[in-house]
Parts: sequence; structure tokens; C-alpha cells
Amino acid sequence: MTSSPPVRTHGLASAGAPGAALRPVVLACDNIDRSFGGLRALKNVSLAIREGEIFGLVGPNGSGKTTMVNVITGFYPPENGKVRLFGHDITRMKPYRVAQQSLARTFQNLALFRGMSVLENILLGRHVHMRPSALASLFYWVWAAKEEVAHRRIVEEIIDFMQLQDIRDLPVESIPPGLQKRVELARALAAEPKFLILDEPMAGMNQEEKEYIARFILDARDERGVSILLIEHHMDVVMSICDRVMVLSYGETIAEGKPREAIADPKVVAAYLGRRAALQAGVAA
Amino acid sequence: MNAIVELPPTLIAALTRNAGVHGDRVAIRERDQGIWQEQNWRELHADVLAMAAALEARGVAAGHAVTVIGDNRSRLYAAMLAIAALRAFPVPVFPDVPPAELVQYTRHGAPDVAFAEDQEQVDKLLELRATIGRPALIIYDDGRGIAGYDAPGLLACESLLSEGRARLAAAPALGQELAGRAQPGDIAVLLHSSGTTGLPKGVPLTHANVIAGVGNATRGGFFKPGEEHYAYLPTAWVGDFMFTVGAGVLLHFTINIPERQETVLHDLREVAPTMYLAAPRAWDNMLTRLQVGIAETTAVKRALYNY
Repeated sequence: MTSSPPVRTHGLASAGAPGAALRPVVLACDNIDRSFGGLRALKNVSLAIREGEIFGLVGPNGSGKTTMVNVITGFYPPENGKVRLFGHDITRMKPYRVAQQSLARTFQNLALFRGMSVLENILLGRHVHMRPSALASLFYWVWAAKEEVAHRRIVEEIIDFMQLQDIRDLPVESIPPGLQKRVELARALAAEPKFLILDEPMAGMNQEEKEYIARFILDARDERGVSILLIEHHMDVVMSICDRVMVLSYGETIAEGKPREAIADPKVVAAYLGRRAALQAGVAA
Repeated sequence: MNAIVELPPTLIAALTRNAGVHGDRVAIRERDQGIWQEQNWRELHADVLAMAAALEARGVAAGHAVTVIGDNRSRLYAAMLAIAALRAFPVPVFPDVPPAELVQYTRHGAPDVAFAEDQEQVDKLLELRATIGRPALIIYDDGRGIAGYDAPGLLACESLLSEGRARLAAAPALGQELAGRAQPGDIAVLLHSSGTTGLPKGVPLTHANVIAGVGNATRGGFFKPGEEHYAYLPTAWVGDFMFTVGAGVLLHFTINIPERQETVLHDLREVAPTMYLAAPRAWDNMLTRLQVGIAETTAVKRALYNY
């Protein structure tokens, strides 16, 4: 298979199309505050992501993007504010409970299980759906085997979707980092989430790998109906696949809106992009 | 081997014979989502006739060219046979041909219908359509990512099959008539030369050409009926057409298709073909792999190998 263009050109209805504003909000964060000692990592940050949206969260290093993700997923409960997912309050819910709410994430630094194959790593993404009992597992062939086959089928669909067929049996540490990122995304999708958080899925990737991941993210939204929160530094990717973006700087929202408009904001150019990058992205005058 | 094999006069006649005489034998085995999916000759024959019936209803007629672009996929092979059954001819194109060069491969016969493997190929064909106005109808096998397209003239292979099955059910005599329509002098396929010394040139092969070639190779002892064949080489190359569609149908091979190009070597072991077509370099690589494997293995295995 050869490379595919990162962005569709043939009249695909995107979530940014008219009508998107009417779709229900899947994730709402209201007035989030979070400090570490004397450092206020998030100051009164609010965001709302609608169904079918790819929402970009951008900003300089240390601006609070990953902290925001950790607040949503329950790792760092906020001091003030509320997080609602599909209308349910998940503020201060434990991470493992949040994971059961149809939410999945990938990590900025790879968090795969070394020593296991690609397939086994992805199968672990099914964990939230597995209901093994000690007795059933003991009599594996009688009861548990059937369940495992069902999970394996879903994992194979994901492998097909993410085009990982040729590496499914390889130990995960033996494949290149770009592919490991793809495996991590596959593991997140294996949980069949309705909401997906991707923390820099393209860090360290070359242009071709980025194009593949961009295509997978769009397909995940279009074919699997997943709403996505995307943290990414590659502005070309953010501009081409995000429906809306929010820019953070020192824990504060400095711009929000359509990618082109938000990124052209003078405050964003000053705090994050710099003039030359903004010119390259074609947004600064 | 001197058993002279009586070969039918056309590929379609051979397919019909296979459905009758070897109906329960596996015709195509294709790996999908890690599992080998099998289709026997009777099922393949039915699918080919259904596709032919639907294509005819959509305007494909004798003498028309139809583009087929993609990797080795059972549906694309079936489509090639369906096109030939209508006395039209398939024009397989290498899947890695860039959009700009596609113009060269779609000159002869001005194909207005195209079969595409997946989104990547559909995108290229839509780009081609924007340039030269053809193909009007694009039929795709793998629908992933295409569902949201609003470009006109896109049709899933599954829908084409349902249309054809409905047409065959409404006209019971049509199937038999379709199966007997192709003639030995009809073009069975239009291939292209490599184009290393200029533009690629079109090379038509008739049913009679293909049958003579396969017949000679069989009489020479190179092919035996019922081989396990591995279809992994480019469909637009004469070698794959002669081995997979030609000999495959004429000598009722079992045609094994790997999951993806990247899994060819892995799947090769599971297929264990009785006949394998490869370039000298590929054989060389295989030998190296084997020798390295033996050098790295345990003493017991090495001793067994050297025994």
C-alpha cells in the first residue's frame, strides 16, 4: 500500500459543516482550576466538545494541555470546576472508573507493555469489556474461550482498520516508534470508545507517518463515530483535521474557534507560534 | 507428464466447467482479518455471473474496456472474469501508478467503468475523472472511508452483486446465456508494457492466446491441474494474469491470496503452495532467510536440518 493524502478532497461532509453546532455536547469542562504547589497549571479553563468533533488543544510546552487531559481522566482531580462526560458528572471519579465511561486515551510518552506482542497489547484495550470470573477462566475451554474469540474478532477488525496486519505477532518493543504510536491508538480504539483523547499522537513522526495517522484519526471519527480531543504540535495537522481548536498559554485560554482563526490571533502568534511559523501556516499577514 | 489436458475454448467456459465438475473444491482462499476465507468454484461462478449481469445492466457491452486497479483481491479477479464474460475486456493497472500516469493506462478502449480496491484507488480515479471525464462509474471493494463521499457514480461491489443476483433471479435463462457468450477470439485482457522506452503500450491477449500458453506449459509439465497457487504478484503483470486467472481457472487451481503485500512471506508458510512464481532475487532472499534462520536456531534443529 502506498501513501494516501492526509486530507480528503472529495466532498466529505465534515463535522465542521453547518448543523454541527446543534449536536449534543459530549465533554464539557466548566471553569477548571488546578494547581501544583504554587504553580497554577490551569486557570478557569472551560471547553465543550460536541459529538463527531475533532477538537484540537494546542499551546506551548508547559501550558497545561496534558494537565487538562489528566483532569478529565481523573488522574489530577481539579480544585474547582466540573467535568461532564455524556451528561454525567465525572469530576473526581477514579481513572479506572472514567475508563469505563466509553472514554479512551493514548499517552504522550508511549505506554505499551513490553515483552508482549502487538496483538496482545491491543487485546488489552478490551480489558474494560472483559468479564472473566475465576471459575470460567479455570474451565477455559468450556466458558472463557468463547468470550476470548469474540474479543479477538474485534481486535482483528481494529488491526485491519489500523493496517497492522504484518506486525500483529511481533514483540511490541521490536517495531519502530512511529508504529508503536499506531499500536497505542489501536489499543485505545479496541476499547470501542465514544470519546478519545490523543496526547501528541504524531510526536517524532515523519511526514508519511503523520499522514497515515491523520487519515486514521479522520476515519475513526467518520467510521466509528468517535469524538476526539487532540493535543498536537504539528500545526499543519491541526489546521487540516481539527474542526475547532483551543489555545492554552500558562494555564489560560488565549484563543478558541476555527483553527485558522484561532491560530491567527495575535496573542497566539506571540505566545506560541512565533511570526515565522505563523507565516508558514499562512495565517499571519 | 504426457496426460494431455483438454482445455475449454474460453476462460468463462472453463469457469463453468469448474463449477460443474469441481464445484465443492476451494477456488479462492483469501486472508481477511487474520482468517482464511474460502470460496468454492460454484460460489465463484455464481458471483462472476451476478457481476456480469449487473455490469451489463449498467451499460458494459462487448468490446468495452474496464479498468481494474488494486492489489490481489478475490473480488477484483472475479470482476475480471465477469467483464470477460460480457465479451468486454478488463484492463488491470498497477496499484502504485500515480494519478497523473493513470491517463496513459486508460487510453485504450476509453474505459468508462472502473473497479477499485479501496479508498486510495477511488481517490485516484476521481482525480482522473476530474481531468479526462472518465470513468463515470467506479465500483469499489473495500468501502472503508468511502461512505461519506458524495461524488456520483460510486458503487460498492456488494451492491453490484445484489443488483446482479436480482437480475438473474428475474431472468432464469440469463445466467446460462452469459456463461456461454464469450468467444475464443475475444480479448480476454488488455495488459500494458512496462513503458521503460516510452509510453506504456497496450498488449491484448485473447482467450485463445491464454489457453494456448497455459496448454503448452501444461504439456511441458510445468502446470498440473489442481495446484495450490499463491497469487501475490501485481495483477497488471502478465505473469499474474496467466498464472492466476489463466492457469488458475483453466486447471482449477486453488488461488491463495495473502492478507496484504506486507504479509506475503508470513502467509506463504500457511499457504504452502505447490507452485510458486518468483523472480530470481526473491528466491535468493528466501534462501538467505532460511540459512540465517538455521544458523541462529538450536543445535537440535540445526542437526535435523543438516541430516
